[in-house]
Amino acid sequence: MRKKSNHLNECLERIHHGDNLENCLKDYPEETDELRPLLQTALGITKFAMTAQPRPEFIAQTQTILEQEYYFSHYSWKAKMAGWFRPKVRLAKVTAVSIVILGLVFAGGFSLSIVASEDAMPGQILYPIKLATEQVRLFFTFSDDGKVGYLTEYAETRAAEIVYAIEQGDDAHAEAALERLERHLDMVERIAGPGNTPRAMAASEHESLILQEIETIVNDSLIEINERILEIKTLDSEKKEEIIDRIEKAYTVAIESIESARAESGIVPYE
Amino acid sequence: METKNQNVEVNDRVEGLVSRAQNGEQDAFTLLYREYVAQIYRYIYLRVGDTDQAEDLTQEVFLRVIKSIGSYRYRGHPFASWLFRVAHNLIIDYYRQIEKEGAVSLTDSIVITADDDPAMTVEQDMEVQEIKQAIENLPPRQREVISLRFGSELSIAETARAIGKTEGTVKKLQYEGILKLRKSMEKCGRKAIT
Repeated sequence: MRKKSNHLNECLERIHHGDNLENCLKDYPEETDELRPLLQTALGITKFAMTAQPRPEFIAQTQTILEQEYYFSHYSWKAKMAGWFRPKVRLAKVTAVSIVILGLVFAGGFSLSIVASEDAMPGQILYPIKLATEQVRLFFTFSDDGKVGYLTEYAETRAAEIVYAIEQGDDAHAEAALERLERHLDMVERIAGPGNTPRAMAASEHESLILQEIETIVNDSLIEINERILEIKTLDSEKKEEIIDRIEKAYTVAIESIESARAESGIVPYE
Repeated sequence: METKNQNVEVNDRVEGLVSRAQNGEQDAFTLLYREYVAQIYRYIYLRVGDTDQAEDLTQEVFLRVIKSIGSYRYRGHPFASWLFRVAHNLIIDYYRQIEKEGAVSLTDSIVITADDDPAMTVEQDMEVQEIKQAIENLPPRQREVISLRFGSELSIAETARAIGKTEGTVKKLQYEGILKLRKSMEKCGRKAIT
C-alpha cells in the first residue's frame, strides 16, 4: 500500500508540474494498469474542484467586512464591543459594526475619528472607519432618493480614491475602489430599477419626481467622475479609457434601469 | 503542489505579509485574504457541499484569522498549513453543530451550475453530478484530504500539517480516496472522467 500510494503521489506531483501522464507511467511499467485509472480519476477531481469558485461579489463584500473587522481588532478597544454584537449572517455583521459606530458617535468619543476619517484614503488607518460611517448613513436613510444621493456621492468618493491610488502607483487599491464604485451603482440599480421600486411603480406624481431626481443625480455623478479620471496625469489614455469604460458600464446599467422604471410608471424621458 | 524554489519564494512572500499583518498593516492582511480566499472556499465547498454555507464559513475563517493571527509563529511550516487548520477546526465545529441540531442533510447539495459556462454540455453536467455524488460518499478523512489536495492544491506536507496527520498517512488517505472515487465512478458506468 505504501509503495502504491507513494508512486501515485509521485505521478500526481509530476503531472502537476507539467509532465504528462504517459511519461510518468513509463517509470512504473508494472503498475501502469493500476495507476492509469487512478491518475485519470485524480485529474477529473481536480477539474471538478476548479469549477467551484467563490463569487467575485462575495470576495469583494467579505474584503470590506474584514477590513473593518481588522481595524477594530487592531486599533480600537471598541473591537470587543463589535465582537459582542457579531451575529452569524453577513448582513448582520455589517449592521453590528454600524450599530457600534453609531453608539460611539452618540457617545461622542468617536466623532473626532469619524471626522478625521472623511479624508482618509485606501490603505490609510482611518479608511475602514470612513467606509463604516458611509454604511451607517446609508442604513439610516429611508428614502430611495436619499439612498441614491448617498450612493452616488460615495461613487464619486471612490473615484477620488481611484485617482489617489493610481497616482500612488497602488493598483490593488485602485481596483478595490473601482469594485466598490461598481457595487454602489449596483445598489442604485436595485433601489431605483423597475420591479424593485414598488413605491415608484405606484406612480404618484411625487414618486415620479423622485425617479426624475434620481436620474439627474446619477447622470451628473457620471460626468463628474469621468472628468476626474481624465485628469489623472500618471495614467496613459488607454488605461483611462479602460477605467472610464467600466465606470460608464456600471452607470449605464443603473441609468437604464431608472429609465425603465420611469417608462413603466408612464413618465416621459427626462431631458 | 509547487516546485521547491517556487515554494520558498511563495513562503517568503507570505511570511512577510503575515508579519506585516501582525503588526497592524491592514493592506498586508487584505493581500493574504486575496491570496487564499479561493483555496479556502474550494476546500470548504468540497467539505460542506453548499455554496451559501461555503461563503459563510469562508468569511468566518478569515474573521477567526484576524482574531488569532497574532498568535501565529513560523515554525518551519508554511502559513497555509496554519490557515487551513483554522478552516479544518471551523468545519469540525460546523458538523458538531449540525449533529447537535440534527436538522440539516449533509448530502443534499454540491451543486455546480453551468451558468458561467455556456459550453458546459449535458454530458459534462452528468459527469459533475457523478463526481459530486462520489465525493459525498467518501469517508470524512478521505474527503478532507481530497478537498485539500485537489480543491486547494496543498502539498502533501501542508495537508499533513493542516489535518494533524503524518505525510505517510495523507498519501495513504489520498490513495484510498482516489481508489474509492474510481470505483464509485465505475459503478456509474463511467470508465474515464478526465
